[in-house]
Amino acid sequence: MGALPPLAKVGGICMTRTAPILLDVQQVSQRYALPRPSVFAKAGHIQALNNVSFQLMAGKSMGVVGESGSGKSTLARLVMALEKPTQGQVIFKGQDLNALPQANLQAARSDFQMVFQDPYGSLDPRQKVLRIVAEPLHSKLHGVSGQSLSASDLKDLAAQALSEVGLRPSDLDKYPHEFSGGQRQRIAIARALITRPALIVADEPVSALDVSVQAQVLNLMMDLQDRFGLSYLFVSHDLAVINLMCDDVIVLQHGQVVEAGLADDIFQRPQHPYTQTLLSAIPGLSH
Amino acid sequence: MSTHSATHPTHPLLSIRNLRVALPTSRGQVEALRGVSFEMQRGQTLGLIGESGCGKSLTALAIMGLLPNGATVSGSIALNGTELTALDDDGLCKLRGARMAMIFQEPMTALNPLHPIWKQIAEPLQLHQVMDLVSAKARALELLERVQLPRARERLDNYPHQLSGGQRQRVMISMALACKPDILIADEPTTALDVTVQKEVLGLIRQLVAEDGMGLLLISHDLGLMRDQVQRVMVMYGGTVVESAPTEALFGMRAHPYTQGLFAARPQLGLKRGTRLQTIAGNVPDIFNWPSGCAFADRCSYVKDSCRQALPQLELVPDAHKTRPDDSHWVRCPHWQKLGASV
Repeated sequence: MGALPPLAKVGGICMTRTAPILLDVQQVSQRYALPRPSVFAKAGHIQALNNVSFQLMAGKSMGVVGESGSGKSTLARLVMALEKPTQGQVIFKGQDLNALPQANLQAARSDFQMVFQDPYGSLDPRQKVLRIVAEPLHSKLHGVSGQSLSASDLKDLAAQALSEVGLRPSDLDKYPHEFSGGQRQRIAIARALITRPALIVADEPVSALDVSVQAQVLNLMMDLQDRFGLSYLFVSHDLAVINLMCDDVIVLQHGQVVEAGLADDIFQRPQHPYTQTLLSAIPGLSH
Repeated sequence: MSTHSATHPTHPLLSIRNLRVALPTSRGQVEALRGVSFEMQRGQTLGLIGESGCGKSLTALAIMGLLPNGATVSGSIALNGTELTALDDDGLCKLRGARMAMIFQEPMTALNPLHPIWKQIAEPLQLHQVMDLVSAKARALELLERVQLPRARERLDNYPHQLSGGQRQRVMISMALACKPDILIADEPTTALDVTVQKEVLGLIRQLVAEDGMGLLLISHDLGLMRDQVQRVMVMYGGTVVESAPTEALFGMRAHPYTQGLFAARPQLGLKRGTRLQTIAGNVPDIFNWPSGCAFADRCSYVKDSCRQALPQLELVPDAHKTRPDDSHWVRCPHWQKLGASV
């Protein structure tokens, strides 16, 4: 990969400088090896991310937009410290996540949580909601001091998390299959919320939901942000959802940031041809 | 003989009358479609919209005769005047792929991973038009060129896994169109695709449907997509059609409370950051426990006692802009005039 053309408008990408920096992604690149076509052939590589930088302020939301293969989900995995970048740094609350010792990383994990796209695949069907929602607490406590909470404390915290997402404490004793898609996504949000994280990485959190249910979940996510001062890193292919949920946006194409800025600016006056193409492909707008 | 020349000008292309489908479940037969009626003319494009479980895919499967074993069907489905519910499997096989064809949401699972794509396109040609393999392969190439698959000649021998999602969907379309069907049913054909690819694929479907003059029944949950693609939209809820109107009329004015809620719940570009979306209270009714009256009654803020007693009839919404008799706007709500249409 050659040198990238510099972004015309913004270098480090940070438009909303009113709050402290929560997440600072610095020139991150990620390369994956491809399977070898034969034993003697050289393994090829795919550059999933190329020199991506952005900053997310505490209490704000950053939207990540792009098509399949653009590197959106790779970026989400890097921010969640689920893999290490080949280059660059992910700095969360001033700490380089990839430089942290394992125990400290595990403790830090309670401060950033993830909500996945598929509300059916992301909850263990064999576990009751109580265990699913309370699970992140185990890693938090273990990471900090090795102490443990009593069963009744766990249950209280889980019940509280459920009521925050609009479910009932009595739902703790049910299994995931007893819930609809929207309710499952609420359970996934309760699980993310229970450690009181500063950041939630949401990878297409409403894409699998019906329109009326999607509206409920989006409203809930906005309410929770107002209430707890959360930040979202919001990955979506749906530009209208990003426009509603996010202050800032980065547009990814082939692993590179092709445009970044305030959501309002980008959606009203897209500069890069790819962003313009994405916007003009939204169905139903040309009437 | 009869099926190929069955284009009687007196019959509509597709006529569905009071279609009811009950599905076998562990708790006995459950009625999933509760009386669906509509007509389609040749060359007409019709959209079915609604949320999961409303019956839109089931309607498509019932037309194609692809319902699960043990499903019971009542009512009438007539294609070019031929009653499909009376046909046995052999009779349906003669029509499927020939007179009616379907494109599914996920092209990876709808294509056979073990056969090169040309063989899969050739199959309906061999079956319905009794083509030999050589001419079927030549026709497959023509079809792939027609759906604008890049480097079609080299790709004939490709397997589905060697193609991208958009390319696979083009292969699916070429298969569906191989025998020039009278009606094409597309069930969420672009949901698995990126927006830019979706735009290309939908444009292609629209162009080919217009060229061949076939009818298109498009199923989607995406209102914006409907607006671009079809002349008429039917909104389904709880196994029935609750509103049916020419697309522009519906986008101009919604009469049914559910349609109003559905339109209001969409996030749209231009909404201010943090705007709360309008929601529809409650959940979709449980299929095991349909309400006896209007399926939307439990979620409707205008509900009256009478709504819960019997399924409301379709009522005509007068429209001053109506130019043709089949441009009618129907709504299944007796109170629509009192609750105020949303514009």
